[in-house]
Amino acid sequence: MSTIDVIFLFIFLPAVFMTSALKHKWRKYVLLLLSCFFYACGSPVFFSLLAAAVVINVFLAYLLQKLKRNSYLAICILVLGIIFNIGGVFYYKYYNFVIENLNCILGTSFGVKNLLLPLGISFFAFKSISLLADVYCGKVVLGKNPVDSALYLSFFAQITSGPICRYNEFYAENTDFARGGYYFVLGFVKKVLLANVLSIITVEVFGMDLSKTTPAFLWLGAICYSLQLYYDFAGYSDMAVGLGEMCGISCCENFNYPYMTASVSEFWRRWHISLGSWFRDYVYIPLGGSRTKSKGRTYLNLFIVWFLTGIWHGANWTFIVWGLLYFIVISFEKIFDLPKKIHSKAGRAAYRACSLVFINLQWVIFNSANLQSGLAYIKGMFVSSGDGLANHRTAILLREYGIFIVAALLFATPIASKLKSWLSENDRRNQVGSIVMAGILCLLFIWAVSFVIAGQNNPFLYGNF
Amino acid sequence: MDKANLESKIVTAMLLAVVIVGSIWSKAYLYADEFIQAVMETTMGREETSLTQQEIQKEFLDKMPFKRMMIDLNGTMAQMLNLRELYKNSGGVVLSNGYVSGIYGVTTTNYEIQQIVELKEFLDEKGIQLLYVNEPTKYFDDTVIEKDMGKQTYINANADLLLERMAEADIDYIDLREIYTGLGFDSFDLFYRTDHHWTVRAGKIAAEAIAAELNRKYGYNIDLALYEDERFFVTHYENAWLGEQGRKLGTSFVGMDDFDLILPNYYTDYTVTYTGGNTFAGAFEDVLVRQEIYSSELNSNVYEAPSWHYSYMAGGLSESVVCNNMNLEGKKILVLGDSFDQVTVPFLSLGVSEIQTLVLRNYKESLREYIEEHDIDTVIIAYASIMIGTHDNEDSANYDMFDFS
Repeated sequence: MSTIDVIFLFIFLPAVFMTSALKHKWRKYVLLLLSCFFYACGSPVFFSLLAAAVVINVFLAYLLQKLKRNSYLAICILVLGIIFNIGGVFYYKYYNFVIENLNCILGTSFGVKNLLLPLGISFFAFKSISLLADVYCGKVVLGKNPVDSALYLSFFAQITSGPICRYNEFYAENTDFARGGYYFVLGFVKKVLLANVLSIITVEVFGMDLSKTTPAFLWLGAICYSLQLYYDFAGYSDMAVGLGEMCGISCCENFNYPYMTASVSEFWRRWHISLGSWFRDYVYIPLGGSRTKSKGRTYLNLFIVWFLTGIWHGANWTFIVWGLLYFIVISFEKIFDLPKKIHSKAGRAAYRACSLVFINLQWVIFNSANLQSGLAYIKGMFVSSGDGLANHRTAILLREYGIFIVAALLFATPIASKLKSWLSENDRRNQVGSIVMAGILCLLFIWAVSFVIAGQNNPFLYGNF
Repeated sequence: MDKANLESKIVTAMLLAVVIVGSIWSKAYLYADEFIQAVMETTMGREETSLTQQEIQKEFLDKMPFKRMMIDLNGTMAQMLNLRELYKNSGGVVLSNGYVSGIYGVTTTNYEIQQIVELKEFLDEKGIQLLYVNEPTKYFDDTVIEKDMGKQTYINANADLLLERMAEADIDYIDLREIYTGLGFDSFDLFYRTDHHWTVRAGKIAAEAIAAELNRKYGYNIDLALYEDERFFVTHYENAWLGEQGRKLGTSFVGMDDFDLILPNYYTDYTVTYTGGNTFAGAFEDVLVRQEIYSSELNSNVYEAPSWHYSYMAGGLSESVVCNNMNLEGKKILVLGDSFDQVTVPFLSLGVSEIQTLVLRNYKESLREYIEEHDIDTVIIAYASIMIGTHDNEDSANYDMFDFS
């Protein structure tokens, strides 16, 4: 079950609504039960693994709280907890990758295992580590009831694809049911009407024999993939935030118009914010961050962060190279203090454009089955090889999906926020504007539901990570 | 009340209304228990006694009272925005002329030709004749799709290659594309807009062409006058039914299809045994066409109505026997067919004494044993071009159609 299934909409969601009628102290028990059920629907084989991991992590968190910080035992338990969580991820996600590469390099013949990936294992592991580390550091003080921690780790809206929310944010108590509903609808519309429709183009372009393609065709595919991935993941994150708010649970926003970035470094402060801040807080800063004695150490820290960011996304060399290319460009920006050092408007605009092109090419590698095909795709974006049919096809795709592409491009900018702030300058305009915008969103939601019922549905891309 | 708050409240009220009304209207509570049970059983690793999650979801969706309304809404929007490929994975693409059509990949035809050649050798040993009939798809020329959709399709190229290799192997065939073109038909005139099948008229013309070929090369004496247009009643139903592809896209997108009921206006007498062994005796219109399928009672909901294409040979084409008691020539034909032949076999039977039919995707026994046991004179393989290459995909429902062992 995913949050855009009919079963979720018409069976699970009414149950979630009903929890808002419960008193706060009872609601968390029901939410924990619903979360367990949600996970069992999506990954029944691994439900017991999730249950065991939740129990162990909560137990370790309480143990850490009882122990004195910096004590030998506390450090041991923290390390044990980290190894436990990383070990699980390693086993299910990277074991075969490591074995295959070892066999390739050393000529050995270790057998690979037929392993399925437990749903949301990477997100769960990162949340668990943040809980243990925050309790160890005293940033989080757990209450008497372990259900709070268990719910934090297993909350249905965040378990499959994040955001990697922190414990203190999770229970921030500044939630609003109406705001939650709004975010849920917004996310649903982003996912179903934009990401899913754009996927029609990307699946076709990325699945095409490159010898039959042209640069225009491949650029269209690459741009649509960048937009699809954004609306897919941002849509999911909005839905997660919305569901949380409706359940009285707070959650950080995960995207801030990432394609409005002025540089590659800034992009990562706007894209998957919860992952970036997790690496900053639990890897980069503990390693010394940029406050190290030598510059070399700072760049080593950056290298480690980007290597881990790459491999976190999947057991494939494409992800590792993708992460390391970000390391190179972000280091370059850090060394030359870019784009601050560019003073002219045109220069900044050019740098912004170059950054977006780089990010776009990076998504091509990210979406390719292997490095070779990724590089061949990028080469094809600049060197013509196909015939006129691909250009004819490009024109048809643009004609048929142009409205979705334009909408996706427009809403990747803060145009809606700007419009809202303009409307709010005048009371009457404000009222009418609210009603009109709400009406449009309602119609879009009903249209999106019709897509789901008509069978035009796709799984979330980030569900794979 | 600030603006953001008002907007959120309106949107959330709508969300609550849609979810709660949708839930009650679709009687979601009836499925909740079943769904929980299915999840529990899978999670506990118990032997499954209930339906799976996917089956329950499908059942829930199929019985959703507002499903049709939502499909129509989706179809209306798709039509307004000209999203012709939105349903390509379920129904097909919509061509500029409004026909729902498929786009097909290339195949080597190696498997198909090898199977046909081996069957031919087997039949030659037994003294049984073989005729291959290539039934077309909605377009006779692959460039139609290239021009309209900018995509390559290979269905006619695949058929051309297979027929070329059959000619080299000295295997007789009829390419119905040539017959129809020769009669001045545009390919789309012969097909439904919302269904992948050809029309009854196309099936009748195909039957006449096969009969002519049997006379010309196979020593049959079929009276071809039996197929003349003036010897048939035609009842035309306007905007009467929705084909299988149209059901995925919605009537608001692709509209409804017309249907021609074609029945002989001369005396006929049949004994027909359908799939499962049910035997019926009577005239063509009584035993070969189930006319109640056109009734208004069965068509109040066009999405749930039975397919009108299948009103011919409605008892099934798998292991059926059609005996024409008016024809005593005595030759037995075995048609290895697909669903296109629902409207070919009845008309072909007008001129021959007995037709047996097999659909190999449903027939799990040995074809060769069947042929030996049933004293067949002529085997006709009558396949739509879409069958060529289906053996490339193990998951295809038609994977075994060219398995003639």
